[in-house]
Amino acid sequence: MFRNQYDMDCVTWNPKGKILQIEYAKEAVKQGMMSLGLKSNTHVVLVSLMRNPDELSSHQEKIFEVDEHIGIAIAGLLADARNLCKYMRNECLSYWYVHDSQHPIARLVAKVGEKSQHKTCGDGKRPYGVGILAGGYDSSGTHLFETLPSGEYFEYYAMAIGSRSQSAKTYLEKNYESFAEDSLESLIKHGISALKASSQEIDLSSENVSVGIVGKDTPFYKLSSEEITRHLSEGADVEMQDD
Amino acid sequence: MLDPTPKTAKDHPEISGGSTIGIKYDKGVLLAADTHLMYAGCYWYKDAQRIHKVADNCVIASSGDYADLQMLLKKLKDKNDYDIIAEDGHQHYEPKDYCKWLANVHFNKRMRVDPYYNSHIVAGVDSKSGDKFLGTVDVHGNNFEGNYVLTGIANYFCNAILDGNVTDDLTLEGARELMTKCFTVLYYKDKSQGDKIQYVTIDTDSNVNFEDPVTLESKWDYHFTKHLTNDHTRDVRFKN
Repeated sequence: MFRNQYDMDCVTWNPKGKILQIEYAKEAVKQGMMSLGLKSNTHVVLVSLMRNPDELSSHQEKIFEVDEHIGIAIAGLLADARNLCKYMRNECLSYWYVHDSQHPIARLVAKVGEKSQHKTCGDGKRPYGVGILAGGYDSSGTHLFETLPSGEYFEYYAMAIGSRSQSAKTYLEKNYESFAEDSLESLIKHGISALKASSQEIDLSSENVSVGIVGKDTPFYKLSSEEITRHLSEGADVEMQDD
Repeated sequence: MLDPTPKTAKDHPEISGGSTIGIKYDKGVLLAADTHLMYAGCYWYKDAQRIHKVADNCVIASSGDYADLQMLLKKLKDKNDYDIIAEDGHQHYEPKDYCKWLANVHFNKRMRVDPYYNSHIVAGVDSKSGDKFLGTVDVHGNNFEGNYVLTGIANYFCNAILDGNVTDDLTLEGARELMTKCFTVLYYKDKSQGDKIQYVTIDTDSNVNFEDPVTLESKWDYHFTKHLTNDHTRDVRFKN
């Protein structure tokens, strides 16, 4: 009822206790193409669905390497994502320069959260319109984090963000308990199956699917198009029952 | 606009400590330093602690300017506090991280021609892999690691004693013997060295043990010093 009066800027609360601009920014993430991530005790797999703005154009790359031990998959405004990715890369490099060792992932995500929150504090600034799934392996094991435009961040066993991600989330919820001890191949299969669960009407191919992997003794790398094609054809079509 | 006045920074340490030595033994690392601070050639403080604990698994021993050391210890404490406060369930800074950070700080200050007049030994045990770490940072920002490290004038006197004797199966007693030998030589030869030595051990279970300072045995009542020097001042010079 009060929506339009209280959503002019980031510094106005509405009577229900929400800052609507931040809610709208989260909406921008929900409208972006889907990305999902899942982790075992040794590896983290990030899968994303890419879109091409035009038949003639390339697909927008959504999985980025932040450091050898951290990769991110994004959903939302790609330009904001690139900005944050550049920030994360710089922080990792500074940490290497000073300490000669890897940036702990939780602290990197906390820095991103702080930066995002700062954007929600000023009149005339807008929040970042991107959700980041950051996955990596550091001295405390594998981690998968989601950051939100509000500056919040949460750690997950598995998560999917973006449009039509609910089916993927349901698939992951059903299967996540077996992920911890899974092999890398099995984990990738689960990721592709979750992707298929959410993309029933879309033709999946190595052109619009991207997979990034990072883990123990495994610096971040992306699967080649042959490997993606193989995984897409090997996995069975996932039937999502309504229950 | 560049400031035309000449830059004036100190070019020497003020109240400073002598040399420090670190040795790796089979189950950990042994550090030792004396407890004397000098001021322009005179003993100034006799009970100063020159070895400090930075984190649960990291210890630092310093020679050189004591005020600069106290400033650096504040910064190191802030760093350790940040590691704890980050509250992500783990403490990520290892002794190697502290050592590299110190080396970068020293190098940065040296490039501004205003150095911290310290040489440090950073010692500890990696909490994840259990590896022993022993590194040294000097006033210029040089950073080395090794089985034994020396700061200050010990570099000149003690390399001959330690080289080849610090092996992978050296026991704690063997390391202590080597240390005692080194510090005895230093006490005889170096005017800025005292005879009260503090030993600190860190073993591979990350137990840090600060021992009370012990006094070195040394012999000064040689015939020459007793009889062939200024006799009339002998009672003043020797207490007994």
